[in-house]
Formats: sequence, C-alpha cells, structure tokens
Amino acid sequence: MTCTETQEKLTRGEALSETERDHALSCAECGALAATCATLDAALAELVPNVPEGFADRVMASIAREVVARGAVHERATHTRWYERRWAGMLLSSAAALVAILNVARFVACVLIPAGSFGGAP
Amino acid sequence: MDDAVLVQTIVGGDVEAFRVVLLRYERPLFRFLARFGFEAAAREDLAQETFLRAFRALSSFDPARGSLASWLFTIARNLAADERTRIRHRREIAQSDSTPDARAQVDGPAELHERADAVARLRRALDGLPAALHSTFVLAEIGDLSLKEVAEIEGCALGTVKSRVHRAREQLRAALGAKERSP
Repeated sequence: MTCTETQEKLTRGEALSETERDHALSCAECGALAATCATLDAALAELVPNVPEGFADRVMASIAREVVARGAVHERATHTRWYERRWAGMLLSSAAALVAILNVARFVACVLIPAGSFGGAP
Repeated sequence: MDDAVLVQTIVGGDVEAFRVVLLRYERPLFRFLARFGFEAAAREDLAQETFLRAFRALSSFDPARGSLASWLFTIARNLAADERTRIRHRREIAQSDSTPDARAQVDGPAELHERADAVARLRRALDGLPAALHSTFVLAEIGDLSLKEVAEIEGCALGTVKSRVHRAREQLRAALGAKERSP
C-alpha cells in the first residue's frame, strides 16, 4: 500500500481499509487529503432538501387537469361536423387554390397575351 | 410493484397509479436538483415539469431500453441542464453566499458556520464544474442510480462516467482544500 493508492481511493470516495486508515492517520499528506474528502462528503450530504409539503398532490392535480382537457379535445374531435374536420379544410383550401390558378391562367390567356400571337388580325 | 408493470397500469388508464411513481422518485429527484444548484422554487418547478413530461410521454417508455429511473432522470437532467444554461446566460446564478440554506446557518455556533461555509464553497465549486462533469457527478452522487444508469442518461461509456466522477471529485476537493489551506 502506497500514499498514491490511498489518495486514489480517497479521491474516488471509496472506503479505506483498516491499514489504509491507520496510514492516513500517520501520514500528514494522506491525512490532509482525508480531511478534505471528509469535508467534501459532509458538504454533499448537507445538500439534501426536503420534498415540499403537498408536492405529489399538486402534480397529481395538474395531471388530472391535463387528462380532463385531453378528454375534452378528444370529445370535440369525435363530434365535429364534416366541414370542421382537418381533411375537409385541406380539400376546400386546395379547391380554392385551384380555382385561383385557373382564373389567373384565364386572365393571362385572354388579356395579357395579344390576340396576334395566336395568328389573328392585329 | 415493478416499474414496468406500474407503467403498463398507468398507460392502461389508471392515472392515479402515477402517484406511486411520484412517491418513489420525488426524493431522489429533489436531491438531484439540489445538488445541481437550484433554489427551492426552481427545484419544485423543475421537479413538477419532469413528472408532467414523464406522464405525457409514458407510453413511449420501453423497459427493454433502460430503467424507469434512468428514463425519468434523463428528462430531469435535460431540463436541469437547459435551466442552468438559461440562468448562466441571465447571470442570475444564485451565489452560494446568499442562498437561504447557507444564510440560515451563518448565525449558529462555529461548527454550524463552518459547515455552512463548506456547503457554500461546495456549491460554488459545483457551479464551476464543466457541464459534462457537473451533471455526471451529480447523477452519480445522488446514490439512487447505478453508474450504468448514469452512463445511459449521459449517453456515454461506463468508463467515461467513472473518470468524470473522479475528475469532478478531484476538482471539488481541490476547491474545498484550497480554501481550507488559505488563512
């Protein structure tokens, strides 16, 4: 057993054997390190908060609200009229877009393209 | 009740069974968030958000891919890391000297004062750790997760977890030791 082995164990937070403990007590360097590690472990142990009173109830209440809201959305989705459905909206907007494109094409053909270009009299 | 069975029960419609998950993991989760450096109010918000997200995504939990603990702590770790980044950006990170926990003990006897001082220094040192070392160390230190589970959460090898924990302990010890040696 060497100082390095003892110090490695101390740094890793592992428990020391009896021999290593005796060594740490007699060796100034290992002893200082053991003291610092003990301070670190004690300080870490201090960072243990209590769970706030009623925490689980508050979370369960939030979950209950969410479940109710989800149920309402599902209810609405299953009782919508056909034109409120997503596919109907998409179909109607596609049809509107098609009509718009056809109108623009008709406008271009009738007004913007001169009749001459089709071989007619100027 | 086994975690996998519990999840099946909840997904099957028994919402109240989620309370068992809450009671099983609330303590380690609060411990994790405290060691991450969050104040009481932030701890509760993050813990609540973790459980709510877990509940919403419970049907996607696959026990074959890991434990419920590591799945839950993955959510918590991501939320905590995001919040830590946000806090750092806002430069509002709680300075340990002014934390309620530290203040509460300052007026006590010398031993309490010393302990509070060590906790304050530890918090500062923890806060100074690089993000990867920080979250790995905190997850490993809460004591409720195996190093294998920590590796799953962090998405790294077991050896990496061990070396990160070792490096983090060394840095923290150095930070505490430096102050102890100074006059």
